[in-house]
Amino acid sequence: MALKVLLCEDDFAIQKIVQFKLKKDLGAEVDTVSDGKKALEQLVKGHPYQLLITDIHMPYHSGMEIIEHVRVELQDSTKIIVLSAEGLEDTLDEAFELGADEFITKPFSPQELITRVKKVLR
Amino acid sequence: MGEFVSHEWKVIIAITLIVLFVLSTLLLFVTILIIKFSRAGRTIRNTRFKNRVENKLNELISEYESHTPEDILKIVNLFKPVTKEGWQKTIFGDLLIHYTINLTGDIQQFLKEIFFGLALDQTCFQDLKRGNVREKVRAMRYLSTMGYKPACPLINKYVNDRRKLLRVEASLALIDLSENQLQFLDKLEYPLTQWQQINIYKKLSEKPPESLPAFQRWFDSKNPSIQAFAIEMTSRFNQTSEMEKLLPLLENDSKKIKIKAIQSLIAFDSSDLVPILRDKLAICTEPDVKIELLAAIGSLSSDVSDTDLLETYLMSEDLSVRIQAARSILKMEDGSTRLARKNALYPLMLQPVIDHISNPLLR
Repeated sequence: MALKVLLCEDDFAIQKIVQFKLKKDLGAEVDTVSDGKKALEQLVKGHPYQLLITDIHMPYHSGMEIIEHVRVELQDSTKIIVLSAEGLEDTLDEAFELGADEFITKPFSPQELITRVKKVLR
Repeated sequence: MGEFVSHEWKVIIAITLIVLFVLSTLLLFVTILIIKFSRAGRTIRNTRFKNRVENKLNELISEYESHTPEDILKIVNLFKPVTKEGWQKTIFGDLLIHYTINLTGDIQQFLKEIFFGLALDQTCFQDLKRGNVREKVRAMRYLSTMGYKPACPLINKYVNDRRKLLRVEASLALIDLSENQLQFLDKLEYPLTQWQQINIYKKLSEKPPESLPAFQRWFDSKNPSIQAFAIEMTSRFNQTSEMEKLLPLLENDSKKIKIKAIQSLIAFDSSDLVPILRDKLAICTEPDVKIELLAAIGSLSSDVSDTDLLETYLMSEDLSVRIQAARSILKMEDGSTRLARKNALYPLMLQPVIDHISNPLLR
């Protein structure tokens, strides 16, 4: 069965790159949303995703709120990777404390992304 | 008969005016329609083109492993026919820049090779020389993102341009490209705007601290905005070895510079500075500077005897000075008790101060 991924990213160019790479290297089915509100609409109980990749700064709800929603509200253990340009120590700590599994800072390498995805799904 | 003729003329003039009005309205309407359609057509054309080249670039990036110079040449030749027109170059250039900023490592290098292979640097040079403001700004961004150092002399010309936007962009580009990142500050004649300062600080924060120059170099700049910026950067980047060089600035003629220097000293968090600040406070006559010195003593001192000194300023005629003295006392050991005791003795003088500092909206 194909890996199902939800990608929350408001930058369409990055969306396309990640989607393309995940599909090509891992045969993943990637659903994309460009804001936090749409992400929360997708992340209801019993959602089909095995992996969530999220940016931090997005319209309506931030990536941090999304992680919190998944871990606290949904009590869900879906793997979460944060992909953000904000690589400050405090931000990283907050993301991991809320329950993120991996943090990738932009600029990033698509190959590195695949390696990290494989690592969290192992 | 004469009246009839005159009436007829009036009708003819009226009809002519109405016809002219209808025709000009129609003409205006048609012109608006043509502009709208041509704009929509351009948008559709641009979107289609962007999607096409974006998909191709995505494909190349995703399949990227390594590229020989021959591979790069093939890719460049693939894009050459579709990047002939100015609008195509802009869309493709924007995409390359966006990816170069967001992607790293070999792929970033690969994107740069495509950029130079398509001679987009030459287009930037032309835009820098002859383009309008928007084109010049874009050219500077492209060249700095691509790390094209030979562009420095040309970009340098815009450091003192009368247009603020070009000055800001030139300074940011030079931080990326020039060996001496901040050398442009030596010859900047215009004030460094707040926006420029924020952007320069942001850029400098991304660089390794050891690569930054000692900002004290600009402490005696003739440009007061550069002087103030250098003072602030000294503490922001924690250049402790330059701390002592801030002290002579406490004697500066400009109140703004004195205040900046004190604020910078607070950030170094060194109690060794307190005796110097105490001496300055004793002879200070400017209330605004006094307030900063009181704040500095409150932040840096852990000596109880300084509470006595601060207490004397609770009786100042200037309410702002009294407020700052109270705030600083609260930072000292046993400060709240000391302040309450003093308030019991001089309620008329101190109650408004305490009300002010207790108000969460005024903190």
